Amino acid sequence: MKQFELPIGEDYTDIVPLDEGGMGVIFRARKVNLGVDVVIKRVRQGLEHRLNQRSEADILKTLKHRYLPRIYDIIDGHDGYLYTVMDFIPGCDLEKYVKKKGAVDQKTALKWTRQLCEAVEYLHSQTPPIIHCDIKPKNIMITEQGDICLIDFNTSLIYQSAEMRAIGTSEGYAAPEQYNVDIGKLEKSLQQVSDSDETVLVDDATQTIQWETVPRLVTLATRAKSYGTVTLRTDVYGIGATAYFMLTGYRPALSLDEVIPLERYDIRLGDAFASILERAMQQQPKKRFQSAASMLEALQDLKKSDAQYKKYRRTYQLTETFLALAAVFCLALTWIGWRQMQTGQDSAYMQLVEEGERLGEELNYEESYLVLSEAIMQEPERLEAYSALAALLYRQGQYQECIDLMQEAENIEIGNDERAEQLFANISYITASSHFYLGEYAEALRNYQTAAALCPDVTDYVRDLAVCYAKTGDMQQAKETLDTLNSMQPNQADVLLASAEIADLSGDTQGALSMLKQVVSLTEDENLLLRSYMMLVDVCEKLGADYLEEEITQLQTACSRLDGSRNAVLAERLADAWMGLAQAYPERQEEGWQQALSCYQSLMDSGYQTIAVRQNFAMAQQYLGQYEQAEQTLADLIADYPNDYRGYLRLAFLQADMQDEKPVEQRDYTEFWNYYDQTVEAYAAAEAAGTADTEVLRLKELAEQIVQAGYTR
Amino acid sequence: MDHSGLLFYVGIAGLIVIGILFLISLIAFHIWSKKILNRLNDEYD
Repeated sequence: MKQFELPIGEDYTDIVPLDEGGMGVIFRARKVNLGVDVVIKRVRQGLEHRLNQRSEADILKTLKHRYLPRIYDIIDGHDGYLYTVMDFIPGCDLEKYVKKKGAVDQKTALKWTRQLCEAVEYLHSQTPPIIHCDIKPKNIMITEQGDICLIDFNTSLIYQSAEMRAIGTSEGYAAPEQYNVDIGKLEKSLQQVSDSDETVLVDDATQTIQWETVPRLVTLATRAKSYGTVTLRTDVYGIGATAYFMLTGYRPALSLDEVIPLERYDIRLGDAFASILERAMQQQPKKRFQSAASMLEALQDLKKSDAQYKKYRRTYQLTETFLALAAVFCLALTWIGWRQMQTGQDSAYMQLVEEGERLGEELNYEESYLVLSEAIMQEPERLEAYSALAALLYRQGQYQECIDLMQEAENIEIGNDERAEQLFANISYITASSHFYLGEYAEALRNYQTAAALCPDVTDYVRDLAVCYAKTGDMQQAKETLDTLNSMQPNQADVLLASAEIADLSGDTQGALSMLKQVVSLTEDENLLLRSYMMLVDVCEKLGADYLEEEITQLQTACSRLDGSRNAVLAERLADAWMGLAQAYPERQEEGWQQALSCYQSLMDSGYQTIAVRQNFAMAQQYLGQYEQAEQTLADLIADYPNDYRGYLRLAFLQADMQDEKPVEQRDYTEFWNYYDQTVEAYAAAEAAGTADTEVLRLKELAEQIVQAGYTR
Repeated sequence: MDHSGLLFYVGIAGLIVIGILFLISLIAFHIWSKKILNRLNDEYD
């Protein structure tokens, strides 16, 4: 074979021509220093203007990919040609392969298209990217291993600006934008061409479309002398067109013309693959895959392009969205329903508490107690009912019951709820006051401290805390707390009450009385009034019988100033005071017992029927000579409290009085002894529990007198 | 008639029904996608 001499240096021998194409001649040679066969492509003058820059040539030489030939050198020959030296790839190009063996099957086409995408993706990923610009079957070698190799970079561009123009075109494989024609106008024109026999012609000078009678616009557009701009999507079109050829064996019509749809060929082609190729070959670049990488991604995940799979995805998403929305709707319904239930429950609870409070204010203590207890059973973790019930018991003077009940409330978790803190502080305050009245000052102090710690701004809590400190003997703390109270700018009555308590404890009873009188004249606060009057009564009692009149006057004022719900304890104290007056002043006995009877009667009528009240009521009846009524009152008391000695005790005294009223010969102490025995028996149990009652001793003395008088059993 | 809590129970019932529908749809979609993928595998692999 005739060997050629080329002006590319001494390193190449055995140079023989292989082929001659539109853009130059291809030689095969041996590269001596590497000992490999190479292909040398000589490009005609005028076509190498893009790649004759040394820097760009150097970029091409760095390429290394399994589906690209290695480019050893790009040489500017002395003869004005550009020589590209690259790997010799044994095998034949895709065009010859298809012509020889026919169109390839779908699986092979898919494999080669993926390989082509990988190679082009590699080129596009360079910095700056390399656009091949001439992807076609003739530039794809099929290796002996059955893989592809993309060759011929003579028309490739180093993509450095958006305005780069193509160097040449390959009919059928060049993307529409490689021609210098407005694509939008062409598409419109093509539509019109198909609608009529008229066609358009591109004017080379103005690049405008003129209506003429030329058969096909696209053919003429191909003949345009200048080329259009290229982008990465230009190569995507080339890949699509090459795959089209692989599958059909036909070039995809003329460039810029409508591509014959793949469905028209009698080939086995999946819907997904076909749709990918159609997208790759869109005339508008923006409608194609944005890069070879995204096309490769679509090819590797074919299901995403499958129409049935798309339908499946759409249905799946719609169903899931619908179910999610329905779930949100149902969740909202559940939440609203739950809130309604909570509100209903809360409302029922608060109604019970309000009802209990109302009954308490109407002095219907028993009903109030039941209603509030029911509220506690409904919501044992809430404090409102506890607070109301504590206030109710406190008002009735049932201090021990109040303390016992509040022990249950102590374990309720209050968290950071301000309302719960206030309620808990109030409960602690009432419990503390109950302990205070029972003389349990250490316990009272602990509860006052809790109340004052939870609500340090409430002057009542601080005031009573100061008093309680004084009661426990801690005068230093009492004074400091009093200073704190003064710093809170309380009303004068608060300070006076605390000062009165401290004065009383210090032995200045007269001073305490004076201050307490000032307190009740200064304030209208019911709590403060109740407390002040209670203390005033204690102070008067401490000052002796001379102050009984003062005590009664103050208590009468107190009962008229405070409403009915609060004056039960005061009314009892008033009745007791009248009873004390009757016993202390014989000349006022009748008046005293009458007034006491009246007070006890009012208490009994209002439902305030403690054992002490009933017992004293009977005693007043007895002293006023109402024996039968007194007997009935005590019989009722015994029926309600059969194990309490006090009913029997008073009946024994009553029987003794009744017999005293009779002539000596008619006296019969049988009933007396009967009640006496029952008193002694019931009192034994009470005595064992720590009770010591001087009235029982008085009864025993009376029994001895009766025996001495000759009235034996 | 006391209707308090009706919404709550309707909501709970709805959630249960949606839960069942969700499970059924998951199974149905799994079968459908398996069928499509098998066909695609036959076509291209």
